[in-house]
Amino acid sequence: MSWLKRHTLTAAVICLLLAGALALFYPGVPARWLFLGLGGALLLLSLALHAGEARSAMGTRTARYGAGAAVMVLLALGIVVAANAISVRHHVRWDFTENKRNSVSPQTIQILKTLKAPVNAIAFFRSDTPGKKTAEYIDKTLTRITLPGAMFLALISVLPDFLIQWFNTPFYFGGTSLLIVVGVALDTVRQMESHLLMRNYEGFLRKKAKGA
Amino acid sequence: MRWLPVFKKEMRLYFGSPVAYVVFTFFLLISGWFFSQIFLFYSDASMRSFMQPQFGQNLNVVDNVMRPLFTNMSVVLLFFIPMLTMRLFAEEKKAGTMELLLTYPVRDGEVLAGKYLAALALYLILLGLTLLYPGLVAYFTRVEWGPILSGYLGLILTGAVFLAVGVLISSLTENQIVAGFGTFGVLLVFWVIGWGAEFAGGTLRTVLQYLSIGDHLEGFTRGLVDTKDLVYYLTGVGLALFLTLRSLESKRWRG
Repeated sequence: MSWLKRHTLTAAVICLLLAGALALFYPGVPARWLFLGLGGALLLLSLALHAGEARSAMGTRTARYGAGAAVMVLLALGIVVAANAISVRHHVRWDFTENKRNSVSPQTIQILKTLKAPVNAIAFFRSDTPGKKTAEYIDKTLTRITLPGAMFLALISVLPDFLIQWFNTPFYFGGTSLLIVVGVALDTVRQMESHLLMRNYEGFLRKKAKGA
Repeated sequence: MRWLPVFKKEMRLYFGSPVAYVVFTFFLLISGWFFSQIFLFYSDASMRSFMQPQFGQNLNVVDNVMRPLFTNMSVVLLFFIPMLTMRLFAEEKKAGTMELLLTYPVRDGEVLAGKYLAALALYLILLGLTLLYPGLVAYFTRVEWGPILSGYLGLILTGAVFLAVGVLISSLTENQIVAGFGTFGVLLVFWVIGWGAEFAGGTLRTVLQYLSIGDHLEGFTRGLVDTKDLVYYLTGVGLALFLTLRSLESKRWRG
């Protein structure tokens, strides 16, 4: 009997903690109700077993002041949680950087204001494979599209070596230099194109206008 | 104003013993090391960005030097602040002067205010000394002071929370080592608790992320001051100090 008296409270606390942990980490498992019920029952049992001591302890100074302190602590916790919850829902933010780089620019806001209706974003994917499968599918497709390009670049980079080895051509660029030259040339063309477009020219690749 | 004598006594204890000087020396040594390394890395990166113009477009001295420095300093503070606060109440209890302190005609709140403000003042002096780093940066280049000041505000608030937790735990025990390790443990838990958010879902995720101290500092280091973060820090300090008061009070009624 004394053994039961000593350990019911511990068992009750363990059961209640288990119930809490289950509710937190495995929300789908109904076993938490079992533990909750068991914990509650054990708690009541231990209270009943300790009834005499509980009654005498209830009247002391320590118990009264302790209960008061506990209530105050709980109140303070409640106030803090409530204040934080409210502040998360309604918060103001100031950006102290000079160019406001952490904020949405006024031009963007202006554009957003001109929108009349909600914006529709359209994406195409196969309806039988939603979610992660689609992501994998897109990834695979992109990889396959990139593959020929990568092979082409690899070919260019080893081309000089083959030219020198097999045809004895006096070719003075190495593979990487060739890549850089090609890359820079393409980039220069693109930059000139964008400058032209910016100044309202039609670019290098314009279609023939009628009569011109 | 009766907290002033307590404040003065604590300051005298900090500056009359090697404590303040040792803390200052090592904190400045470590943060200075961080600063010099980050600055060297940044100057290297900006040299390299001359050659690749598209790479260096977002390079700026506040984001790339001061921001990592603030984050690193906050981690160093995580180790240092428990050692500043661990003796505040624990030592008084151990030496038996706690009873004396409680029977003086000062209220618990005033004792707490004196001790907490003394620790806070020491911390502010420490942070003030680190103003050397942005000063050095400003000597070499033009800096924007907005994000630097907001970063310092973030560090002050983080330190205020750390100190408040340290005071609370020091008031719970009479062993200084327990107080120091307890504070460090609690702060570390609040530091890493956000990492759990990655694998949690729903409300739990939001709550874990919100509790994480480092997440709230991040906005300040970027030049963003958010009322949400201010409320988090100030309620944190308030709650810890309130619990300390209750813990001090409990000595009067605990059996």
